[in-house]
Amino acid sequence: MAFDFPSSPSAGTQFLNISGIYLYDNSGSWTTIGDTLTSNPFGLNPFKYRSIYTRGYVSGGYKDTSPWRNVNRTVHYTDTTTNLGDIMDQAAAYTDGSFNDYYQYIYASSPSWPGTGSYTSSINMQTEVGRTHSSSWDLTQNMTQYGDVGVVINSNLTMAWIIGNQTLFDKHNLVTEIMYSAGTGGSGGTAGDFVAAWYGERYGWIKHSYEGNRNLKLEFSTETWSSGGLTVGTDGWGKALPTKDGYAYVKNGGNIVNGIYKVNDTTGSNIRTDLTAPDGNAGEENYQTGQNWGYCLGHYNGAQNNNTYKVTHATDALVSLGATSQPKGHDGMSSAATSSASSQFLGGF
Amino acid sequence: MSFYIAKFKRYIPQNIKVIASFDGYSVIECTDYSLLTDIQHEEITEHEATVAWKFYGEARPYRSAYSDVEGLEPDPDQLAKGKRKTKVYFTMEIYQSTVLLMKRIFKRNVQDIFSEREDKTLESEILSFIDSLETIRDISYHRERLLGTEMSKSQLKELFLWDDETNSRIGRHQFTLGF
Repeated sequence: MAFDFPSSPSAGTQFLNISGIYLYDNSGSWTTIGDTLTSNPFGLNPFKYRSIYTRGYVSGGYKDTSPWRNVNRTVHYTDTTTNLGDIMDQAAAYTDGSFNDYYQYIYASSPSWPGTGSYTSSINMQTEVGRTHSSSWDLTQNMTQYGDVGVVINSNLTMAWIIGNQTLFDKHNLVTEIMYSAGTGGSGGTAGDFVAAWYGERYGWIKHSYEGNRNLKLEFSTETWSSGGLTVGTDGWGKALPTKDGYAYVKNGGNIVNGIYKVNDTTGSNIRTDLTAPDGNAGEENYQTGQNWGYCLGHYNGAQNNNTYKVTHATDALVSLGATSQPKGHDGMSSAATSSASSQFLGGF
Repeated sequence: MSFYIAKFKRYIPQNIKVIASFDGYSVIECTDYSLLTDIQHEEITEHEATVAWKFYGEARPYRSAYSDVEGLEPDPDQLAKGKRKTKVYFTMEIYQSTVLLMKRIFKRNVQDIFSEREDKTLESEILSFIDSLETIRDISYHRERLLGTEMSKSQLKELFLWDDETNSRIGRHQFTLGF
């Protein structure tokens, strides 16, 4: 299709037509400066592109019986991890967390090991300081035994569901920041310590079998629970890396195994069952979700450590990373809380 | 089979087996020495790489291990509660290997810092001091003081640096260099 460009342009003249945006430059010719045919990625896949995860935080965790209070920031573009210091208001072992666009929440935090109770800590991911505690964030029930919890977060980061060694779920409204009791999760299952949890655009998934048993799927739009039908072998000690690409990487066993399944986060079916961690058997991983790749930032493999590996979604490549990427400030951590943060927000709630 | 501590800045080659990473250094198993060209590294004993690393920074007289995973005698009390963990106590050999491994990494980190400084005044003094340390507690204490790596809560309690009433560390820990 031919277009009639302006007949007497001067340097700086712009011309827009259906195929693009053009600029008449100093050389006396038209240069393409924009392509109007490129689709807006937010419109095509708002779940993936409503915000762009550019960094993440791994908070708390423990080594031996020592819970940590510090937080490490990982910049995803450079694979660089920096210790931000003891910015949590109290330490947390055997924890998990949620996040919205601005804040990370760390559930069942406690300066005592293994870290039971109902207290919720929070950090501001934009200013990277700890927040003054509000009791409205706290769980409605005390997490007992080890107090390890699992968390699923809906697609626009407005609601999180939390379960630990209790029969009832808690639901955390991430807009008002108020915590509610949220029932048993359908037929539920039995209470149990150590939970593996992951989530995609439409569903959240809960699996544990170490003490008690849950194999559940939550449809976010209706808040309906159903049987998960998951066959991946985690008993809750082996954790999961959620992605924004339609699947999660889930450890296929408890403490300690090497195998990782790639699990469809809509159907729960296994996409791949042949993946392995690059550094051998482990559990209690601190998995951090990223935009196109994620990380394991410390785990337990006979001892808590700062082993770090990167999981690239497009290739399913799992590669160990060195000192620049590893968490700092202590001798290692497992069962910490992780969150992901954005520098750009393309869409709202 | 050879074992090393090595400091990889970015990616760790796939042919290298990472055992554990502490303080920026990774304990590795490596058969192809050429992979360590231009990488800061030091050979360590098999005992350090297969046994002692699991006790790294351990302030208790034992570590907890999964009896079924590590082929250990289960703890009957734990087993009765449905738990798989058992205690593995230090032996003299394990303790000495752990001290050796921690000192190696401690010294390497100090050397790495001085390698980026023009003023090397304190380097030999600090390295000699680290050489003189003989216990895990001493290493952990001075590593916190010099490198900012936080010591465990159990050790803080022993040093009366933990307030049981508020259940928190007395004073704020600074993760900064002490030299």
